[in-house]
Order: sequence, then structure tokens, then C-alpha cells
Amino acid sequence: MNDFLNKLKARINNLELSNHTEVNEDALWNSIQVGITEDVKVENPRNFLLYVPFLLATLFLIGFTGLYFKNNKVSNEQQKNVSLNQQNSIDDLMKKSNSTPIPGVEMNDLDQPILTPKDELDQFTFNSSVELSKRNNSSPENNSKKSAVNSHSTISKNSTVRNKVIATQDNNNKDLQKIIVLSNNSVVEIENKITTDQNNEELQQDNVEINSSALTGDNEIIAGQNNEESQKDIIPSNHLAIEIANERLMVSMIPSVFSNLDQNQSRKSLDLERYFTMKEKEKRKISLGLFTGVHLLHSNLASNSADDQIRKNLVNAGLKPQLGCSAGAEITIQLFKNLNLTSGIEYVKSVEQFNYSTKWDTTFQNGQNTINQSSERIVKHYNRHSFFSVPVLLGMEFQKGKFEFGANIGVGFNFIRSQRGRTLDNNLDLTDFPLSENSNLSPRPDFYLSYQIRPYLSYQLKKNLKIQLRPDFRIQNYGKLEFYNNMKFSSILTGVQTAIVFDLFK
Amino acid sequence: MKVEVSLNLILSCLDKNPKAQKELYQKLLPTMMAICRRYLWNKNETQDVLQESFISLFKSLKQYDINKASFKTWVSRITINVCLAFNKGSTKNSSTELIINLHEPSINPNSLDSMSDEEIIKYLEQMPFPYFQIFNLFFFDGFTHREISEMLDIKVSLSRKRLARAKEWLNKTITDKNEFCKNYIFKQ
Repeated sequence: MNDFLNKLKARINNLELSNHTEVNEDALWNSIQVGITEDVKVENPRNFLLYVPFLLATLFLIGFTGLYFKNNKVSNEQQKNVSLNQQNSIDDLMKKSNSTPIPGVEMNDLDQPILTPKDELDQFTFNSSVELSKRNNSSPENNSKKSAVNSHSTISKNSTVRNKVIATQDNNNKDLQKIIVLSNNSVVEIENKITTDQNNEELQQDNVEINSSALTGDNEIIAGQNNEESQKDIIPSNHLAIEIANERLMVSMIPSVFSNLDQNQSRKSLDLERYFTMKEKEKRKISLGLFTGVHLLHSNLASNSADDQIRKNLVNAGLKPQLGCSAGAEITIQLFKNLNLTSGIEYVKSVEQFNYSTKWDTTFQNGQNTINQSSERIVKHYNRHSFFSVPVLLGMEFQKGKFEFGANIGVGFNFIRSQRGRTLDNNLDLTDFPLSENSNLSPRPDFYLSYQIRPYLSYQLKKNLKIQLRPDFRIQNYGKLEFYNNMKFSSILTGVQTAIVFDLFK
Repeated sequence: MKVEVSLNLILSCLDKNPKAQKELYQKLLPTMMAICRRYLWNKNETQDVLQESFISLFKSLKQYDINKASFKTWVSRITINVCLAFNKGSTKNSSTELIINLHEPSINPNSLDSMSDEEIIKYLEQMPFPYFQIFNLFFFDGFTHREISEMLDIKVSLSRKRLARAKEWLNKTITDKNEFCKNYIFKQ
């Protein structure tokens, strides 16, 4: 034995096979030359096509995610600005009002109005109706009249006055006038009437003073008519000081104006809120799904030619479906209320079993004896092929509580990545495929269409997350290829998939 | 390797001389063919394997270190690795050929000298492939069981077991009889 093995080793180590029928020397050398002269191996152009959907899907995702966050940021900023603007407007008005002096009233160093001294006011009593008159502060005549008035008028100390003063100088006047009524109860009532009269500028600068002999209860004090000449004495009350402002506004004391401003601002914010709500509703629902599944592939050759019938029957009888698998990602965009569009990319690996058996008679010699025997060959081969599928599906969906059900239907664009296996050639002999890099000599083409229908049932797990269970039915049409002598080759894929779906925008 | 490969030829190939490359290809083809016949499970892949092997050889020629191993050993290793890689793709969950041999071939150990290389290969191919693979790696190419286990992704114990089975098969097929049987017919 050892001697035999040593001899065998010596023969094997020097073994060279010159007659190699399996190899075409020239063709082999040409392919080697191509391989060694190219520095960068050229990828099969179909591989580039496979990466394009990935790239498109990635760009799509990035773009939508960026827009989503940008919209959120813009809307937040805008809402912030609205509230800031609102606050700023109010703050500005407050400052303005504080800086606006009360006309006709003496202001101290701190820009605060100087109230009438109490002792002076005690001398005044209102005996009769109160009349409003204007007084020119700068006129010495007025000042003397004031003292005269003071001597004649008294004001009841105990009177509680609550006055509602309506002052109109002229119906045509449009300047804003304000009357401030102060009482010992510090009830402030403000009446505004907008009057303008260019002729009454002088009048508007003056104070309107009230001359009243007695004043109890609620009184309506109506200012004097537009009379530039009337100069009536006005007795200020310790309980009552009435001022009429001119066109400059004291916002802090005019709640109605202030409330008007508030309403304007709140109207603006309402409009903006409504705008953003509409914008939110206008956003389309977009979902991203990741799925995986298993399937069976039932392949079939079809031919009407009498010459192909035997081969067709043998191949169809030999092909048995085996379990394949797939995985992928997809994006669903809501077009209308219940209508959506789905696309994505899926990697599918399919397996079929090819069975074939053949018997033949054989003879062998044992010494001088010839023995007849029969031999049988049983072949069981797993044919495999993998491909990328880009589906474009239209779907309808309906929701009931946490469940969603619907169906997708459409076409798939399929790109073969690899295929390998065994089948029968035209001579009904077993042959492997692919025979060469030439795709015509493989049973499936590099690209083919499939027609797909996919009903599904979803269950909402969280707000933006749901799981989906769906059967998958596809008709894959490979067409007529030279490999099968132009017989029509097709498959039916039946499977089931599970998916996790994320709602990106809802 | 009967034909010697000179250093000048290797250097010319490194300079990407097309004539030198073709000369090297023609010199190495018979040897690499024999390795493919011994290691390749699917004989239809012979051309593909040779193409891959030669491309790897020419591309990595600059990495060949004459001090580490002979050129023959280096070429053999490249071809064996390519054959094993192709075998992995072909044998995994694929064909399960059940050829019912009605007759076990036997060989006279003394007749080795009279047998051609082709006949020796055909004889050895009758050995079940997993055993033949280990037998080739261990006995003819000098790999250790640990190296074989790493290359074939099997346990060391399995490698030893298969080698033992290969030797049993050889023992079974060798006869001491003077009668020499070349009496099996291959289905072509």
C-alpha cells in the first residue's frame, strides 16, 4: 500500500493534462487578457441600475425629512414671531401711553399729574348742574375767574359722584377726545369720541372745566357746545376732576382702545393659526416600510410547437417549487383620501428543485465474461436565482379603529442578479446554466416585468408605527428566450410578507 | 511540474509583456488543468476556474516571493483556492447525484506505470468526492489537517476521518491479483 501511494504521489505531482476537451484555449486566453489589462474591473452595467433605485429612495427620504424639519422650524419661528410682535405692540403702546402727558394738567418732575390740593377742593360745592367750559390756561383773565369761581362754588364733601361725561365739541370733529372722571371712589370711566376740527385746534388744547353748584348721584355732564368764545369758570372738585384729552392718546387709560388693539392682535394670531392648521392638513401622509417574507415559485414552460413538447413536459415535470425568501424597503405616499402609491426595492432569492432521472443499458467485462446490466441516474438539483425588484403599486386602504386593510396592485421591474442551475437542453441532455456570460443562454433574462397584487392587513401599535401582514401574488413573465428554443417561460410567485411601517408625516 | 519557468519569464510578465504572459499561460495550463480535474467538483466550471486562477496569478505576480515557496507551489495554491471557492458555491444545498455503481473498479498497483495521466485521474475520480478532496490536499499538496479544516471550514477530526476513509477506499480498490481490470464504462 505504501509503495502504491508513493508511486501515486510521484505521478500526481508531475501530472499534466494536455488533452483538455473542457477548455477552449484561445477563448480562455482572450478572456484572461481582458481580465488582466483592465485596471478596474468593469461592473456589469445592470449592477448600476440596481443601485439607482437605492440612491433615489435615499435621496427621497433625505429630502422629505429635511423639508419636514424645516417646515416645523419655520412654523415654530413664525408662531414665536407672532406672539413676540403682539407683545411688542402692547409694550410699545404702554410706553407711549406712559410718556404721553395729560393735556391741561400740570405735571411734576416725575411726569406725574399734579392733583388739585385737598384744601382747595373742600371749598367747592356743586350746587347746580355742572357745565363744561373751556378755559385758556395761559390767560390771566382765566386765572382770576378761577378764583372767583372758587369763592362761589362749593362741593359737598360727602357727595359721591359718579359721572358719565360725554363731550362732543362738534359733530364734525373727528379728533379723539377723552374725558377722565375721577371721583372719591376712584371710579374711572372713560368715554371716547373721535372728533376732528381743524378750526378747533385752539379749543382742543384747552381744558374743559366743570362748573357745578351741586352734584349728587349720577349726572350727565354734557360739554358745552362748540363755542370758542365761551369762557366759563370751571370748579374742579376734590372728588372730581374731569379732563378732556386732545388727539394724543393715553393708552393706559383707554381700555376700549387697548381692547381694540388686543382684538386686532388676537385676530391676527387666529388667522395665522388657521393658516398653519390648513398647512398641516395639506401635508401628505408618507410611510416607510421594512418587510421580509417567504415565497414559492411555480415555473412553467409553454409551447405550441410539436418539436418542443417532450422537452417542455420533462422540464415542467422536473421543476418543483422550494421556499425562497425576500426582504426590502418601500415608501408609500398618500395621493387622495384612500388612495396611495407605493414603491421601493426588494431583494428576492428564489429556489427550485430540478428532478430528472434516466436509465440506460450497459455491459461490462469481468475477465472473459461479458455481463449486461442497466444503470440509472437520478438527478436532484437546486436551481437558484436572485433578483432585485422595484415595484410601482397603486393601493386602496380603509381604516377601522386600529386596523387598516387594503390592497396594492401594479407592476414590478425586476433585475436578475444571478442564476445558476441545471436543466435539459434541446437534445434532452442535462446541462448547467449559465453556459456563459451571454445572457441569451440562461433561462431568465436580465430584466423582466412582473404583475403584482398584494392585499394587506395592518394593526396600529403606536401613533406612527404599525405592523402589516400581507400575502403576495405575482406573475413573472420571462418571455421567449433562445435558451428554451423560444418557448414561453413564466413563473407564479406566491408568498407571505410581514412589514413594519413608520408614518413619517401624518 | 515538468516544464520549468524561468525567472526572466516571470520578470517579463511583471513588465506586462503580452508575449511573455501568453508563454507563461501555455506553460502553466496543463498543470493547472490537472489541479482543476482533481479539485473541482463541477467539471463544467473548469474554464471559469482557470480564467479566475490565471487572472489572480497575473495580478498578484508581483507579490510572489521566491524565498518563501517554489513557483509551482505558489501557482498550485492559487488554483486550489479558486477551486475550493467554486466548490463552495456549487456544493452548498445543490446537487445530490445518486449514481448507482454496479461495479467497483479495481487497480493493480503495479500497473500505475503503464497508466496514462488521464487514466489515473479517472481512477481517482471514482473516490467519493469529499474523501478525494481531503486526500488531494493532504497527500498530494502537503496541507496539514488544521490548514485543511480552515480551508474547507470543517473540523480537524472530520478531516482526519475523511482521509482515513480515502485510504480505505484505495485499499479496497487495489488488488494483488496479476489480473488487471480496466472494465468499467463511463457514461459520457
